[in-house]
Amino acid sequence: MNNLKIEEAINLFGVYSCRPQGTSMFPTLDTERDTVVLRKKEGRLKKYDVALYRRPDGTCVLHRVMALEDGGYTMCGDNQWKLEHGVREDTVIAYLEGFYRGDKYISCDSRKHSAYVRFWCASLFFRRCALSILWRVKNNKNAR
Amino acid sequence: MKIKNGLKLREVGGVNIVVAVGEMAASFKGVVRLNATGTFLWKQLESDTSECELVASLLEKYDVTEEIANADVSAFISMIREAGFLDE
Repeated sequence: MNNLKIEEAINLFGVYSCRPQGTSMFPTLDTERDTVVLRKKEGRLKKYDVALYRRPDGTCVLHRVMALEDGGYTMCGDNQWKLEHGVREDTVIAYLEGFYRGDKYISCDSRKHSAYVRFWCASLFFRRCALSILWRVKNNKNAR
Repeated sequence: MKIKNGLKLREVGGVNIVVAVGEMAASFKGVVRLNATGTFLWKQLESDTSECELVASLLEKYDVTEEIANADVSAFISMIREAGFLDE
């Protein structure tokens, strides 16, 4: 058994599985109970796919594609509201094929999961608006 | 002997891999890819079986000699035993 970097393992096997780290994709992914199944990226990702990519600082991130850009993507974690623009296509390593929640496998292509993703992304948009207004009100109060 | 609970065989894009779920995922990171023979043996081991039964089922499924079947089963068992995947 070899210790490979995640990129090397995905290039070698085409797939990879592990527990997600951090809370940025909560509640879609739970670090305590889920195991993600990642598949090597071949071609362009679609809106709402979950991408594994490496940031310039070396960290590996699993976030959702919120929009397609020229030569890249706009990403956001399901537990975040700030969009990350300019994620380059060549930094994307893999995409989320599905995940195990306990013993149950949830495919990202399933209708139920797709409906959940659309609902969740819509709620994040409203949350972003609400938080933006609250910040402006707070800043105006502080300015007086 | 049988495969431990918390290890799932899954086909992803035509590749058969072993995925650790639940508590097993805390102790195992990475990926185990199985070829056709490995996948066949893994499925047999999902229920309690013996090395002799594995050899017999391999002989029934594939056109191989008993010597090769014994060697393949032995190598496979050693590999998954070393990885800590077996309940014995």
